[in-house]
Amino acid sequence: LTAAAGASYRSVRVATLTIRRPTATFDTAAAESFLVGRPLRGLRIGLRRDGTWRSWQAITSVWMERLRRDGADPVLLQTGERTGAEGERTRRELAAWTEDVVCAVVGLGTCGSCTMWSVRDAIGVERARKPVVAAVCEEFVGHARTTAEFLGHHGLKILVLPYPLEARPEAELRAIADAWYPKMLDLLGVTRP
Amino acid sequence: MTLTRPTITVDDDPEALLALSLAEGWGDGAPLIPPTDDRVLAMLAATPLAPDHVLGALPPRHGAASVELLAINAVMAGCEPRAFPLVLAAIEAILRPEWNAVAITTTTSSVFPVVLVNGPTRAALGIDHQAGCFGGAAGRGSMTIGRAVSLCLRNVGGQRVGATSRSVFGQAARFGQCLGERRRESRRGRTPPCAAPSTRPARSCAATVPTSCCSRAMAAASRSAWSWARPRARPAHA
Repeated sequence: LTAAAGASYRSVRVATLTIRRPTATFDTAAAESFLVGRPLRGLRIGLRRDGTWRSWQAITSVWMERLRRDGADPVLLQTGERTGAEGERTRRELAAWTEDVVCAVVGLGTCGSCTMWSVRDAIGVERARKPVVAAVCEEFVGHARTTAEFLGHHGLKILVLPYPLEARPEAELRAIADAWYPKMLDLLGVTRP
Repeated sequence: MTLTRPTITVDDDPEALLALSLAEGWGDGAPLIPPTDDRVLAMLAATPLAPDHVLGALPPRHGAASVELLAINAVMAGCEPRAFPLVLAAIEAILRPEWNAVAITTTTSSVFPVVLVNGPTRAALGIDHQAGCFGGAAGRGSMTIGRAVSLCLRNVGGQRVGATSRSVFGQAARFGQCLGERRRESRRGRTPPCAAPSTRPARSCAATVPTSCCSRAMAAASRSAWSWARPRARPAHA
């Protein structure tokens, strides 16, 4: 092309096309969050874990001990697979557990999919209009917040745990459990005597 | 037939459409076919389902997977209208609980959906099923059906790297992966066809969606999520 031809090409008015927008409209209406607003004693508090993360099992075991020590009535749920017959059982057990408890802690988010499941299960508790905290390692907090916001639960309370947790020795995990225990209660809105 | 999705005006220039798709986040980085009304309507004519029929809420953001929206994305991917029932079947398979789409669309891993097609339209649609079937054989069906599914996950499901998807390394096949099975050869061998259990009518086409971590790991994929659906094509006399 000569320079003149180039200039001529640029001056040609480009026709337009009307196309259809390919993106879905997502429902992001803000949902409510809740606080317990009463002391721990006698509180039926749910802890949800799965079979994947040894570190989270250790932390929730310590929390079970501490909650019993402080007069609460902890209810542990270990979720199974999400597909097939076991998936059906997991959904039934989650529904029954959500119904059973006054408030809950759901974890652990320390990978892409487990963060998504933790947030979704926590949102399930929030949709039952009960206080809930999602336990997520700091590396995946952004993912958890984005997921919660995308699902309309902007105010979902997230307990931020150190990352990585999984390779730490038992004693270190117990120390983390003790250090984060009061933060977890604060996020749930449990009042101190 | 009336389309209801919002419209966008763009210069009639492939580069302008590509730039817009990247700016607004609904492109996959490669050039797209403009989803004009005539193209979307042609796509919709290939299915008996109404445009406002919703197949389900597609994870991770649970966007309503209406047939119209899926058709728009299939047009952008370059699908032929006659391949659209397979795109719908693949999305139906993905939506089944056993495929675990919530986890698969968000995981730290590099899994991706593979659309496995079995049936008589396989060759006619350009779905690669011989040498190079996992990539490089350049069949239009293979390239565009897989891409349409990926675009649907992006634009209808809201799967976005760094936001809803935490895949650390990703995977080239996330652009789209679709291949055909060689039914007769599968039956001769010891491996039953993935997309055709013995109970399925021989004349039907089926789309199966397993996940795989890499293209050559189909054996390993047997431990991953599997789901299948039969496409609902518009009858020839309709």
